[in-house]
Amino acid sequence: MNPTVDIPADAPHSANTPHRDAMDSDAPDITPSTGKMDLQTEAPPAEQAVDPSLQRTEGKLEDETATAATDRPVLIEVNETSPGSARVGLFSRRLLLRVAVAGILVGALIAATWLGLLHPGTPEEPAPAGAEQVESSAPAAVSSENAPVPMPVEPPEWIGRMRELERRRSQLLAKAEEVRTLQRLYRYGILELEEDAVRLIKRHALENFSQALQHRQMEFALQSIRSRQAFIAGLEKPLRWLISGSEELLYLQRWLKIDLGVLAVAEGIDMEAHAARLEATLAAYLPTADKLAMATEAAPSALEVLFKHLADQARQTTLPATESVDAAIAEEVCAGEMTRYSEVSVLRLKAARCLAESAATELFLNRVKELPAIVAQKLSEWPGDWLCLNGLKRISPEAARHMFAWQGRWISLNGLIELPADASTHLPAWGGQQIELMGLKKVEAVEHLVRWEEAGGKLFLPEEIRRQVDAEHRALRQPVASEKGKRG
Amino acid sequence: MRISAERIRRTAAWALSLMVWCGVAAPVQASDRPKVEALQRGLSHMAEARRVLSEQVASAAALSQRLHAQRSELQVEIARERRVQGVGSFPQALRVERIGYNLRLVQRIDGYLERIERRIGYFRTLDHALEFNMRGAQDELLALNTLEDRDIAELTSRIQSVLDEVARETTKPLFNASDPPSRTLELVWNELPRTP
Repeated sequence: MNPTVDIPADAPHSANTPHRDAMDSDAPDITPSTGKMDLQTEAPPAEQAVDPSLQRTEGKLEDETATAATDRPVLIEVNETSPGSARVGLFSRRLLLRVAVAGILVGALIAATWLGLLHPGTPEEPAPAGAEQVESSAPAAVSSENAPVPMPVEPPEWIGRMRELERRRSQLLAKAEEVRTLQRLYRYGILELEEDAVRLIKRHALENFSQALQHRQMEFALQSIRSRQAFIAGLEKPLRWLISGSEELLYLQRWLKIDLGVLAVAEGIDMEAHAARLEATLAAYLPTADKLAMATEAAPSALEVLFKHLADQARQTTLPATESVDAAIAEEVCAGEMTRYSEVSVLRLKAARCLAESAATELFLNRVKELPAIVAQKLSEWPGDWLCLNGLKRISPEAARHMFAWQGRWISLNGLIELPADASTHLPAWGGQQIELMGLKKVEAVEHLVRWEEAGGKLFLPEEIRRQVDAEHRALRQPVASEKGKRG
Repeated sequence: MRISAERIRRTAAWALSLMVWCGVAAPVQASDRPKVEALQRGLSHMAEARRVLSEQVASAAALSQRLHAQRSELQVEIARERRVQGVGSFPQALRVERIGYNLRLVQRIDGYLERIERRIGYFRTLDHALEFNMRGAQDELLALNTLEDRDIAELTSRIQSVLDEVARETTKPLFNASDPPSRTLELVWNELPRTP
């Protein structure tokens, strides 16, 4: 809406009066509430600035003045009897009146301006009580300079402390991981020993503990198992301590982070208490030898109990025909002799460990028919390139989990005839490049294969499975293509 | 000619009365000018106070958002630990260090969030008060321009009072972190969703 239309040019308190201009020139906030003020703040374009009605009036005045100036003399003797001369006299009187009124108005304006300028701004004049109060409200008191800005800025003295916390926590976590690795090694070592012990029990038909003790190899195996069990148990104490320490340090770190984040805007945060707590915790969780010492309280298992457990295992185990060859190959591999390793049929734990520790870049274990999860886990530690297990017909989900956690590039599983969903579910996360599954006849979850291939993996599949995988690929792409078509 | 002289006399009389009016009116308006200026200053201060309040609310909201994000991370971690460790009850939860510590942190953050929200609400109320007083001042300014005199003492006193409150409150800490938490750990645990 054009404000000029709404405002009569001759309104008594029109906004375009000079006095009003002076009063409101520094109060732009008021303008939105009155249409009058809009006239000043929102100056219309030059050609629209003047009210059309005013333009019309002024035009009329100009015309009349022009007519008077040209057609009629300003001073003319009025003849009372002549209507024409009376008209002229009336007009000249009007003109006189206009001049007089204009002069008076100008005079009045000058007087008002002079008086207005003289009086109000003088410092001698006391301001109204209310005005004083408003003046006394210091703007600085609500200045944004004083407003706290809650940015999570760590005070410099805390940066070092936080780093120290982080360093100590990393130290504890690294140590805890070392302890866990140690425990894993001991556990694997126990399993290896148990495997050997079961073989001994079977081979020598050991019926009872006294018979077992007559075989020093058996006795040593039992003692080693007991010793390793003690190590595992003893490591629990430092491991618990390390985990507790890392958790408490993490809690402190997080607590500090939260409090430092609100420190600028909150009161009641006792940073000294934080500092004291931090120092105390850092001192308490210094990983010294005494803190990491293994616990020795646990009573060691009796050798007889261990033997009974192994004898039970032996009763349920059938030694394969290739057992002696496999055992011999395992010994060779562990001695660094790799010429016969690919002839192994049953991958014993000891052989798996030695293969995983070998420097070979390719392992061809195509005679292996079964892959227990523990063996798969050990093989997954092998830092090689290409692992061939083409003799496997099935793979357990747990073994698949370990296999697809291997850091190598290429796996050949061409003997696999089926791939259950709970096994293939681990495939999409595998970081390898190529997998051969040329023997597959059935895949429960094609989408797992597709996802891995979509991520850049290369799959070698029999024709039928390839068709299923390609169809799944197309089905996945179709909605995208149709969506693009719609957009196009 | 007589009529003309009469007209001139009338005009002169009218002009004289206009001059007299100007002579009287100008000092009257001049005496209101400090009130106008006081109200304008008040308006200016209130506008500034509202700006400061708005900044404070924005900062508090940003802080609240950050704390909410931290809380969410802790909550996700609790849910994960709960699933992995098979935790069902509250006593079991306390036995898992990560859950126990995270619950304490969530409890602390919840306390901070409650106080920040309360503070934001208070700032909004202050802002409403300022808005109300600005409206009053603007109305009064309009009236002052029309009427000869107005008593603005009550209004200016009210404005001053709100400005003082804003000045005082915006320089105070946003909240007190040492206030005890309003909810127990068990309540925090019970209210957490079981899935992240």
